[in-house]
Amino acid sequence: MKRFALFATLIAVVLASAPLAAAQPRLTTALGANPPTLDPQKTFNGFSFAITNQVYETLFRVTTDGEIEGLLAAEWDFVEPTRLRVTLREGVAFHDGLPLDAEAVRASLTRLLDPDTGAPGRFVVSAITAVEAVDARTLDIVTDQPFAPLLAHLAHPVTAVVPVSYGDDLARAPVGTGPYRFVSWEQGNEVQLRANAEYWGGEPAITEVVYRIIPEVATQLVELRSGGIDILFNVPPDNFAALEADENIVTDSFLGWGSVHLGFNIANPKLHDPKVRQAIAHAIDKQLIIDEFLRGMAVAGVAPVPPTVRFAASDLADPYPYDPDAARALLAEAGVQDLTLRLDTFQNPDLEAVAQVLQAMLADVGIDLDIRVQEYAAYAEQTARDDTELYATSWGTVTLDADYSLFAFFHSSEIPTNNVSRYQVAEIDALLEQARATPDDAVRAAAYLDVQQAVLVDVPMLTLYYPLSTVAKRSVLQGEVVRFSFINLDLRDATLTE
Amino acid sequence: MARYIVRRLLGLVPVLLGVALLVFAMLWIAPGDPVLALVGESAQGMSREALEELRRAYGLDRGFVAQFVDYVTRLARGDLGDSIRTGRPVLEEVWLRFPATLLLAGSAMAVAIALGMALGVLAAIYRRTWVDHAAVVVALLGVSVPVFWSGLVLMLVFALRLGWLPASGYGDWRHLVMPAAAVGFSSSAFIARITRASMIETLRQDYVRTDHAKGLAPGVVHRHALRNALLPVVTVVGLQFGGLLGGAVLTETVFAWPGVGRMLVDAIRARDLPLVQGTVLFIATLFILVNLVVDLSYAALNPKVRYD
Repeated sequence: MKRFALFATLIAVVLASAPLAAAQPRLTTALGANPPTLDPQKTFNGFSFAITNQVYETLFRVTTDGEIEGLLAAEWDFVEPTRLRVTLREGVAFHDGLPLDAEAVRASLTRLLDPDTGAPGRFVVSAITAVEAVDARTLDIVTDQPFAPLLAHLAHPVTAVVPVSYGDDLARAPVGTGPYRFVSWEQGNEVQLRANAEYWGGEPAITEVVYRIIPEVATQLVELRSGGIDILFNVPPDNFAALEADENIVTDSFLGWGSVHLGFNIANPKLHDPKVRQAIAHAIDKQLIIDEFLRGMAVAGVAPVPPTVRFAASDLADPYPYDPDAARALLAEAGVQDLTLRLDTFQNPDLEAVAQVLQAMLADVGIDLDIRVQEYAAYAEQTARDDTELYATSWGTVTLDADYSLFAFFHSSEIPTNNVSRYQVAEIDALLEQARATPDDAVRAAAYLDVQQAVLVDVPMLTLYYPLSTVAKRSVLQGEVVRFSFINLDLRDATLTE
Repeated sequence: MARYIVRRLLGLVPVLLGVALLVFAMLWIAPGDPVLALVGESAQGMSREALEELRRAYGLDRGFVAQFVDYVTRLARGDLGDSIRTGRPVLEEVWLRFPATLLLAGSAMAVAIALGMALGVLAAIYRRTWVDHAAVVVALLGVSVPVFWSGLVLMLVFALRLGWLPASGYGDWRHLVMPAAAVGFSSSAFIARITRASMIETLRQDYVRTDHAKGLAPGVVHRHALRNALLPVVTVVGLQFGGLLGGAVLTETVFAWPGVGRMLVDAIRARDLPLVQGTVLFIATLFILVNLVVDLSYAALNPKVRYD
C-alpha cells in the first residue's frame, strides 16, 4: 500500500510538473552579418538597424506610399520656418517602464548631435541646431535655416529615441519603446526579441522574433526551404525563380530606395567633353543588363532617384537610348580615338557583373575599359582622388526625399566624397539650396525637376537601374509589412498561422 | 624538462612582437581608409568634416610609429585594446567566439584523426592492393574537394532532402555534425598520407620482422608499429589543430558557425585594427602552445628524446 501511494505521488508530481506547451508563435529570420552594435546612434550598419527598428522607434515614419506619418509624434507643426514643434503620443513607455516624455526625446537627439558621441549618422541631423523641451509632451526642434526634408530625416533609424541614462550598455542591451523588447544576443549567432506586452499600439501577435546570423546566401536559402527560417530578404535574382516555384514559399519583389549608377569624373580631361559622356550613355543597353544579368529584377533608370522617392522626376524620357552608332558618331565628333578608361567599383556581386557587361558594351564602340574592384574602403579612398575616371556605385535614398541624393551627388560642397563626379554648376547649387530651404512642396518639386533635367543633359552620372527589393517567406507568415528595405520589417500586425 | 618549457614560453615574446609588427604594417599598407571601412558603404552621405571628426575620435589621424608604440605599450600591460566597431574589449570579443571555434576544431580533429589514421594504416598494411588505392583516392578527394562545396552538399542532402539535421547554426550536437564532418574530411587527407608513409617506413624496420618471426599476431605487431610511426603524424595533427584554432573561415561562413575565423575576416574588412591585431596575436599564441605540446609529446612517444 505504501509503495502504491509512493508510486501514485510520483506520477502526480511528474504530471503536475509537465510543461504546458503553450504554442508561442516564433518568427525566425536571417541577417547576413553580426551587427556591430545595437545602439542606433553608434552605427550606420543595415544589420544593426534591422534590429534597432524593432526595439526602438523614431518620431516619424515613411509609409509605403512615400508619405510621412507620425510614429512617436502625435501632432507637429512648424511654428516658425526654423522651429518644428512636436507633441508626443500619450501612453508610451520604454521597456523598463519609464515614460516617454519630451525630455527623453530631447536627451536622445542631443546625444546624437553631440560630436563626442562620434555618431556615424550625425550628418542625418546636422541641420538641427537645438532641441528644446517645451512641456512634458511637447518639444521644439530648431534648425538654423529652414530644412524642408526635416520630417523625413527624423524618420531615419539613427534618430530612434534611446534612453540615454543607459549609456554604453545600449550597445549590447537595447531598451526602447518599440513593439519588441530585447532578450539576448549571442555574438555572431543570433539575437532574440520578445513581444512588448505594454506596447502602445497593442501587443504583437508573434511572441518571439529571432534574428539568426547566416552570412552565406546559399545557406539562407536552404534554411528557408527547410523551415529553419521564416522570411528572407535580398534574394539573388538567380535564386528567385526557384523560390517562386516552391509552393510553401511566397515571394514578392518591389521597388525600394536603391539605385545603381555609372558616374564620370568630369574634371578629368578624358571625360571633360560632354559628347564623350553622352557617347558612353548611348553605348549602354540598360534593358539587356536587366533582362540577362538581373533576371528582369530591376527597372531601367533615368532620374537619379527611383520613383519611390519624393520629387523623383520619373516621367523624364531617357535622352540616351541604346544606340552604338550614335555613340561612335559622338566619339568621332569629339575627336576621340582609342580611348582607354578605368572603372572603379567596390565588392558587390551586382556591381562586378555590371562592370563586366559595361566593358563589353564599351568595347563595341571602341572604348577599352579597365575594371578595378576593391573593398569599399579602398574604393572610397580612390574616388576621393582626382585621377578617378569612371565609377560604378549602388546607392540608397534612405530618407525617400530627393534632397538626400541630389544634394549629395550634385552639390559642389559634396566634392569629392559623394559628388565623385566633381560636378560644379552655380545654378544647380542654388536650386538645391533653395529646394532644401523651402517648405513649399511645389517650389521643391519644380527645383528638383530642373536639377534632374539638367543632369540628364550634362551627364555627370548615369542611372543604370533601380534594383527590386525581394522578399521570400513561408506561407504561414501573414500580415507583415516591408517598407522598401529589410531594415523596415513591420511585424505589429503579423501572424504565424501554424 | 621544466627549463625547456620555460625557455620555449619565453620565446613567445619576440615571436608575438614580430607578429604584431607584421599585422600592423600589413593593415597600414592595405589600401583603404580605416574610417571609411568603419562606416562602410554608409559613408555615402557623410561629409568630409564628419569623417575627419570620426578619424580624430578613434585616434586614426596619428602616424604609424605613434600608433604602433602606443599599441605595444598597452600590450605590455595586458591591454589588447577595444574593438573600434563595437567598443568592446578585444579579449572579450575573442573569448566570446572561442568556445565555438574550439568545439569545431576539436570535433573536426577527432573526425580527421579517426578517418585519416584508419585510412593511412589500412593503406600501409594492405600496401599496393585495392585497399591502398581506395584509401589514397579518398584522401585525395579530401584534400581536393573545397570545404564550402562539401558543406553545401551535406546541407542539401541532410537538411533539405532528408531533414535529419538543422542546416546551419550553433546550438546542440546536431548543429555540429555537418561542419565537423566537412572540416574533418578535409583535414583527414593529409593525416592519412602521413600515417601511410610513416607506417610503411616503420613496417620495414627489422624489429617488425623480428616480431613477425617471433609469431606475434599481426594485429599486435601493427599496434607496436603504429606507436612508433606516430611521431610525424602527431606533428601534422598538431599543425592542423593549430590551424583550425585560427578558425575554419569557409566552414564557419557556410554553416553560420559563430567562430573566431569569421570574426577575424569581418574585422579585417572593417579595418578594425585592434580586433585584427588582438585576434591574430591570440591565434599565434595558441598555435605556438599547441606546437609546444606536440614537441613535448615526442618525449612521451619516444623515450630516446630528451629535453633539458
